Amino acid sequence: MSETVMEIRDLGLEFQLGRTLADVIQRRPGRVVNALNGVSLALKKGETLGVVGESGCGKSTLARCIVRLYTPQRGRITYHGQDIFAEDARADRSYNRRVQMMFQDPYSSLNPRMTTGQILSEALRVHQMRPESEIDARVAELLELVRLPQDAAGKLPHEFSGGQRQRIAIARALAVEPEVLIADELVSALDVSVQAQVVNLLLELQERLNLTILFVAHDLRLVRHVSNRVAVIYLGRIVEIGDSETLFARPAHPYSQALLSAAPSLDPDDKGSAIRLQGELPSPMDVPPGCPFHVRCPHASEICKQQEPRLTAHEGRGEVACHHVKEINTHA
Amino acid sequence: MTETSPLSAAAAPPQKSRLQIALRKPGFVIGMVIIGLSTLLAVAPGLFAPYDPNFIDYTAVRQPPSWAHPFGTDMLGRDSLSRVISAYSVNMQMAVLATVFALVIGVVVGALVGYYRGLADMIFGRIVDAIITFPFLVLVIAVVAVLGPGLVNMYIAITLVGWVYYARLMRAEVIAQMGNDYAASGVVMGYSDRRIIFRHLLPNAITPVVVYWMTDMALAILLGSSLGYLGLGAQPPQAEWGVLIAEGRNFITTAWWLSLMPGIAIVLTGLGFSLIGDGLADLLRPRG
Repeated sequence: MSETVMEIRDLGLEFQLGRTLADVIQRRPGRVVNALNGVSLALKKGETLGVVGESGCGKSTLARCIVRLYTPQRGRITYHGQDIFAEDARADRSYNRRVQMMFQDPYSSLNPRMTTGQILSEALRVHQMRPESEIDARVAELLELVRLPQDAAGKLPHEFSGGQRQRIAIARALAVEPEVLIADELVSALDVSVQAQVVNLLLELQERLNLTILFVAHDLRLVRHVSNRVAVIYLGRIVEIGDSETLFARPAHPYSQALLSAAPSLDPDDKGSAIRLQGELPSPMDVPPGCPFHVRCPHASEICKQQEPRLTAHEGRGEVACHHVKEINTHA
Repeated sequence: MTETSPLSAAAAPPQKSRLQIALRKPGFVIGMVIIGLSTLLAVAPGLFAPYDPNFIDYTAVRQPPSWAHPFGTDMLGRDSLSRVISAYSVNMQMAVLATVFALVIGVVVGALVGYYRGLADMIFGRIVDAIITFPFLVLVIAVVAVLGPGLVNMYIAITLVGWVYYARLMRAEVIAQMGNDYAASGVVMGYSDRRIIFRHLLPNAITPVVVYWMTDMALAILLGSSLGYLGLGAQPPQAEWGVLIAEGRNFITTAWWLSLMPGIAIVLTGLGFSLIGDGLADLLRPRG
């Protein structure tokens, strides 16, 4: 078992929505969005942990908490044993250097008025990664690393395609030589053919530079291709986490089963045995009590309505948060 | 294709610079010409004025436009054309000095409250509300009344009121720009707030402010000459368009050229600044 780089414990974050006029008249408090509800996970050195779930389940919120764009209200995140939200740690910008993030939208994540060269050299200068005389050479090296032509340094972001921009974003993240990379829907804005190039580049760089990656995505096949381990998030909670191959081959949580069976199959004979879920994803403003999945779960019973299941390890699988894992998976 | 083929400079047609594109727009070119000539007149009025603007000739009072005096002469026999030209330096100075401090203060305050929000932003909001409820001119006149008439006090008065308009615009634009991930990525990169605000957000947020600045210079000339007309800005015998219009007011039915010519100068310079502002909006917009 390799070393744990980052540990996330019971992370909780609520977004307060403003009180509407109707709320004020009816004397209700303003509404609250439960973005994260007790997420716990550990990132191990050199692994790629995939995070999947429906839109609005809290994947991106989790990613943004890790890089301190959001401050969680409950729980903690430790990086090499150090709480990153502690008073003295907040001002420590070297954490930002060690843990980098790449954003979903390549059209807004690069400053439109700075050339690629300026974007990369700024990162190098601020963190004093190289002496002034070596900065140009390092910029050239970074462009080479993400396979962009050398004349890219003098160009503005609008002169590049989406895939090229994402590679600039990767180069910027790598410029400061991080240990952990958070990829928030890194390729979901790109064409499929370009997705493969960017993802494969990322994997290759991971191997060369021994990076730890948290790969947030909604594309299940992509996550399966990329990840060693996978966490399935539902309404701000992890419902299942485990080894990627096992989880994709034999998902244990009824939500994971439904989610995976919803992905289209490449086998033409597969006429589809998709598990269709009842109802809609509940609003994160109104999370059901007990197991948050019980309103849509085909296996729900009385206990599910009252008690929230905890993530527990199961033989031959990862950790699952379900009261009925055993029954579901013996007759399945 | 584009993903794998190297981006060679030869493959892509050379892009036209923004300036080249802007120079295709007749409005922008006309604006530049007007303001260029106005600046020239402001810097070296002596080169263009045919007479000494303060030379009094009682033998030739209120003469209509003629070859000797194209804009006629005033009630003291001074050459109107020379006075309109010599007023360029005061009025162009107004356009700059009445706006530039408001611009700088407004941009900095607006960027800061837009970035940090919170209590400072709420206080800022109240100040804005309080100031914009009053008509601009009334408020400026009130400040001038307290400080006393004169050009310097007029600049102070306009700046005290005018910075709010810049700050309001800047704040809104910074907030809009913060919706882009490049601002968040600045935080992720561990950059200081100062760097994020002034190096990243400001250059992207400032375009509408600069465009507004051009309009505001036109307004500043208008406001400055209004105050001159009311006797609160430039003081006679200083040649200033508002003062010149006021001097001609009593003779408007018999010597109409006295008020008309400085009026045309105000319209032309105002038009020039507005046309430039319009062109700059295209020139400064980032691509893609």
